[in-house]
Amino acid sequence: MTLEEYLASSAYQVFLDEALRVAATKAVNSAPNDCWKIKRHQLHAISSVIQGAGLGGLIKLADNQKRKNTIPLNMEFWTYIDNLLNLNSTVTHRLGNYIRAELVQFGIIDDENELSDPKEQKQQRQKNKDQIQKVMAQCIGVYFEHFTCHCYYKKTKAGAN
Amino acid sequence: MAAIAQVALTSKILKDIDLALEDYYIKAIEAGEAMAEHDFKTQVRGLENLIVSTTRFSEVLNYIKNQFGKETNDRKWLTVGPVLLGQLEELETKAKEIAPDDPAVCLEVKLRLLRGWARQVVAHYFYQRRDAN
Repeated sequence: MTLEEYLASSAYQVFLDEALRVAATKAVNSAPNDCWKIKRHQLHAISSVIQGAGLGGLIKLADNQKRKNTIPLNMEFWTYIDNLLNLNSTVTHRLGNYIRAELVQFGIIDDENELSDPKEQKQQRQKNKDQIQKVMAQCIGVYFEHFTCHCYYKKTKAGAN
Repeated sequence: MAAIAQVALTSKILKDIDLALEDYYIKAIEAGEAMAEHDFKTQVRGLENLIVSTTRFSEVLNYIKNQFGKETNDRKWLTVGPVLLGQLEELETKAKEIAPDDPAVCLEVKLRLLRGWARQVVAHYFYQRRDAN
């Protein structure tokens, strides 16, 4: 199956509905220092930016906020978002991991760890990265729908504003 | 983007869905009754419209979580939200029992259980509200 075929398939719909929801929920529940307690308008900004500027816009926003925001909770939150989107970060529930697992399952990418030659590993890793980023750009809106709704739910349960 | 192919359900699965909805009827009534204790008319219609049109089970979960998160002083979603979310999680589990092997079939089963459940809840909500009035 090609990536385009996968993105048009019911398997992708299932991924959006369940695996992505699990990924986002776990990411919220694992957020350091409960930084999901951030103010609502910060969460609102996520969907606005995605609608207007897509994944690239959100990455820029997160990078900007983590460096310039002076409120510690906000800085922590945006740093976390940045890490969730970064394919090279070590955050447990980063989005790229879930996409990678899905694409390996459907044979769209090969697991570079199964290659023994370091040069081939590096080439495969780059190819995989490109495919993962394409899927990330497609699913980012739905992922953050799951993410922000779960944040709103937890905030109200916790009595946070 | 190419249209998503319709998922065909076997007659056994269709029957299992009907039986599941029959078994779940009492709980759906409880959800309708819980909602009927408050004025949910606008949100019930919103939920109904969403359920009819969505292709994602999770969109309904997120709608409820979002409403819960907008909670105002009347606190109605604080009481009803967890009931609805709990029931939807049970429906999701049931769908996985009915269609354990094919995720695409499972998603279609989830959506059908969702629509059947919503019809029961909404009908009982309006019945109770009319009775109360």
